[in-house]
Amino acid sequence: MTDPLPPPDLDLHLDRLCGRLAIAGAPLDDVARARAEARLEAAVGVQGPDQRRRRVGRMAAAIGLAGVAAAAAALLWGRAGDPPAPVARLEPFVVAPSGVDATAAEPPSALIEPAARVTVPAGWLVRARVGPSATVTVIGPAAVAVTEERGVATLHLDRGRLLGALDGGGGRALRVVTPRLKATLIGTVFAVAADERGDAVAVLRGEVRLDGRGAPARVGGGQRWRTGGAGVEPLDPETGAELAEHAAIAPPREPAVAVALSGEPASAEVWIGATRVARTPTWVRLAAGSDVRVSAPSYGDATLRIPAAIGIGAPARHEVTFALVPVARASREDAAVATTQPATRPARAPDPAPARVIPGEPAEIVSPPAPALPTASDLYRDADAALAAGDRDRARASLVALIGRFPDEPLADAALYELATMAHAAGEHDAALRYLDRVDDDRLAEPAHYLRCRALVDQRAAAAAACLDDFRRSHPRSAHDGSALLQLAGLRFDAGDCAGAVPLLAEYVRRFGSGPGAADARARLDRCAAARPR
Amino acid sequence: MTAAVQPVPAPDLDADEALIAAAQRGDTAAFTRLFRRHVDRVRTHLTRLIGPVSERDDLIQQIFLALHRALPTYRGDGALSTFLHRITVNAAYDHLRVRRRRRDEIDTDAVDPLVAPGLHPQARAEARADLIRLFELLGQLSAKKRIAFVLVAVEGMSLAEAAALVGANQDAVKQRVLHARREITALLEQDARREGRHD
Repeated sequence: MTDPLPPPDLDLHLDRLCGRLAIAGAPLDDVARARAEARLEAAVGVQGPDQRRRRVGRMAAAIGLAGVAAAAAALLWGRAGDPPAPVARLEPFVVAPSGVDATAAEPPSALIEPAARVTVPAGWLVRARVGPSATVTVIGPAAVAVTEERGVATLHLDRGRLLGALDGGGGRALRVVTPRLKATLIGTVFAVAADERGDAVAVLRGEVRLDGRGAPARVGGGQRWRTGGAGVEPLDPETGAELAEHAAIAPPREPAVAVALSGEPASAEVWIGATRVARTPTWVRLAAGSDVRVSAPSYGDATLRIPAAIGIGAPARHEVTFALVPVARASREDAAVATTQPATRPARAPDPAPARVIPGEPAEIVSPPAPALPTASDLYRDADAALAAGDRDRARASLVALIGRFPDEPLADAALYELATMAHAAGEHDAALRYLDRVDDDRLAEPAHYLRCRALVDQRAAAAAACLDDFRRSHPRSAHDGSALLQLAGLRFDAGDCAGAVPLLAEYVRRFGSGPGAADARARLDRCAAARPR
Repeated sequence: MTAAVQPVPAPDLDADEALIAAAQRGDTAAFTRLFRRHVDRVRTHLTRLIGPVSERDDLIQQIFLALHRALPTYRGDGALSTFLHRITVNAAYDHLRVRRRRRDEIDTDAVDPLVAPGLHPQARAEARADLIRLFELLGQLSAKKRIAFVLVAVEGMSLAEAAALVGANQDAVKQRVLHARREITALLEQDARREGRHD
């Protein structure tokens, strides 16, 4: 790309550039699509009532009933301004043990039903949707009630722990109220805990505003605060991982059906796609036509397929039992691998039909052959697809899972770089730098070095300038050289160092005269020239 | 061309016709479904024409509002996707004429989502740099030349198709494409010379 091109190659070069654009797609992500739809509907809706109002106005004038026209207009406008539907209930989609060592007792089935208040016993968790834009995981022992006022849901956490994710697009907000604290959330992934000793708030991404005695005004991404702690502290990795896992789990599409999953071994993992949603025994709501996979270390997998059509009159709940076959029956060596690295080696059942279904159950067990557990490539592809779809939480969870399970795979470095890019884009520059510290792949040296400099530019000017200097020396033929040069010049200029900035600005104008920063560079050169003492 | 144009699946015509008929009767939900079916295609075309600029989503809103206004007189004598493509080209032309005067800069971060998925980060960085450079080069062209060039050289349209879309004759479109290509190649040549001196 940066090699000098003799004239005959220029056509080919241009064709290659055009080819890049030809294969570029630009679909809206889900959030932007929802916003665009809402804006369009509002714009189209205004036009409709306008036209109807004009028609009503003409009729009213004809019969001399101006009051009728005013009333009709008010009615039409009133409809356009109606608040959103109430969200004052939790709609659970997972009821599961909260830890690996949880009791093997039956999951409390009542908890899978929508309710305005839930009490989750110790050892269990409930994942639920709250309105169209928020999900929560309530970890027992906990009691939570939800109310709604003017379209804003408020979760009343009397005691226990709650993880949440809110898409704050369109001005959506969520409140969490404990006996001592009020937290307002706008587009964030967060945790709130309350017990008799105090409260704790942790934020993976976004920001939480707090109102309570002794509490800080805000807790930002990558931070936590707790009663009696040392103020706002960095988020601990365990809570960060919990929050990333929560954010990656999406509620099922509708229509969905509640399925109780239990069997052998106890505490098997339940996967939807590349996301682990629960451990058995569990109640999960699953979308029609979807697959859910059950797996366990040292055992084979079973895949359950929910019927594509869930008709009226069909049972609202299903109970499915499974019996996974130990891999140890296949060979001792394989079993050892599966025991020590359960997720890195697909554990396949050697015997046919190890799973069974309760008689009369319409769901279909389609195992074996069972699909392999996700490989590093699967996880990377899933993250890539999620990014393309704008689902950054799922992408982050897949990348974190990749790094955790396959730390020695080359893709782990690529995953670290992707996480750094996402963190940088989210304004979490320290997190980006931490990820970059761990990248150890020569092929990524150039982009990782440049990303490090960009992360520093937004934080520490002096360090950024040193970084950019070093970057330009280390990668003189980089495609980023123009941008690096411009940023370095900008840092010098912003620091009032015209003597340092002018040579860099002049070099940028000379080499990238048609570049995106050329006009700005020229303007800065003029300002430095004007400021020069005569 | 070195790469085939990424196919943008054409929506089902029958379903479009039913939705248009419903939308013409004032069914807002049907119009929303039309939006959902076509918005990604429109956004992709628009991005190729004007680049990943921040005004894109406002323009998409304007394009679909233009469609909504045109519904009462829309006769359905061609595919809706073609009709929308024509509105998109017109919107892009209006935007580029104004933009040419303002000389907007490219939001380089907005280029990232355009890079084909599944690439190694290094390959992604190269693809990103190529796209940024192409948008810079396209930014040097007049609106008419840019649109003609993108339609023919990037989207792979024939001169006749491009001419029908922009409402010009084939010879005019051909001249615009040739001139555009010549101007861009000259800029690339300057790049190559600078690179040579720099080395």
